[in-house]
Amino acid sequence: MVSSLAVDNLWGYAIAGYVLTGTAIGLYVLALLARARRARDRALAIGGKRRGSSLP
Amino acid sequence: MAVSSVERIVGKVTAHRGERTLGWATLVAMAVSGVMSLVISPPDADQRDVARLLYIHVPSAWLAYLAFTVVFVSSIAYLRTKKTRWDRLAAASAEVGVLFTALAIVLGSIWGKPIWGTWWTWDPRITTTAILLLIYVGYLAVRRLPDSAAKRARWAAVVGIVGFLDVPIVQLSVTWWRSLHQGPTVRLLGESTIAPIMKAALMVAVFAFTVLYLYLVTLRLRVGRLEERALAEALSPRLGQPAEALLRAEEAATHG
Repeated sequence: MVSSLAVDNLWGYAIAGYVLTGTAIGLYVLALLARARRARDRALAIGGKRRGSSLP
Repeated sequence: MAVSSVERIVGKVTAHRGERTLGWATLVAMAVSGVMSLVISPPDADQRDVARLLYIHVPSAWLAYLAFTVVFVSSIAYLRTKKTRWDRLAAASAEVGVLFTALAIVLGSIWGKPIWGTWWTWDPRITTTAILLLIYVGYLAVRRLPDSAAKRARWAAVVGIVGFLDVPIVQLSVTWWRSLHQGPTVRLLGESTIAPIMKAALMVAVFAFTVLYLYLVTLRLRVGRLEERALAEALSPRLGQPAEALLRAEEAATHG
């Protein structure tokens, strides 16, 4: 059961959880955006090189 | 017929306009949920403010279930139709599911320390959730096997279907076995054992996380499409012009 000692100040645990969740989601979104950019640049580079044209 | 209807809906939702709309909807929903969870909802009578972890721990677990259900359904659809888009949807959903399963475990651990007095215990719910995480990390590993794309997709679909068996086990573990983890407090049938204001905050959080799931999967699907096009450009000289045109159209739609 919950001890009275443990429940005096528990904001720290809650805030740690929210910060962790926000950070994890934010980093995942940034990683996905970076992956999308890399894939698009790679496809454009390969296509441009094959046709002998320079990239925009 | 049902499969093609779902394909059309997925196509509309994952179009660029849909992605941007989902992005904004996610931000708004998460902000509202944050206010409900941290400001409006009162502290729990026993657990005080640490109980606010409820509003991210439960939605994370819900999202994991949702994500792996989508993997399960997409895997069946892929095996039936052999259409790459189902395989791509399963891959996207599995990745998001793994992220939120890991988050649910870590958040549960943070919650467990002050309430149970330990960061980890081999409780049935926690153990079966850890197994769920391992199964889908394995699923993502199967997707990286150096084999033909069709074979890899087929193997992944099989793992996605078989692995799903653990989802109901995780959910029912608290009723099947003696568990330190509390049982369900919100019930679809029967009375909930949670204060109405806390239930409202929890429902808003579950909704916000569901919108977040849709956004993340949409974004991940675009990554999958772009990576496949990059591969197509590299492998087939004949695909050069159309692939580039598609990419430019995609970029214009994204930034336009």
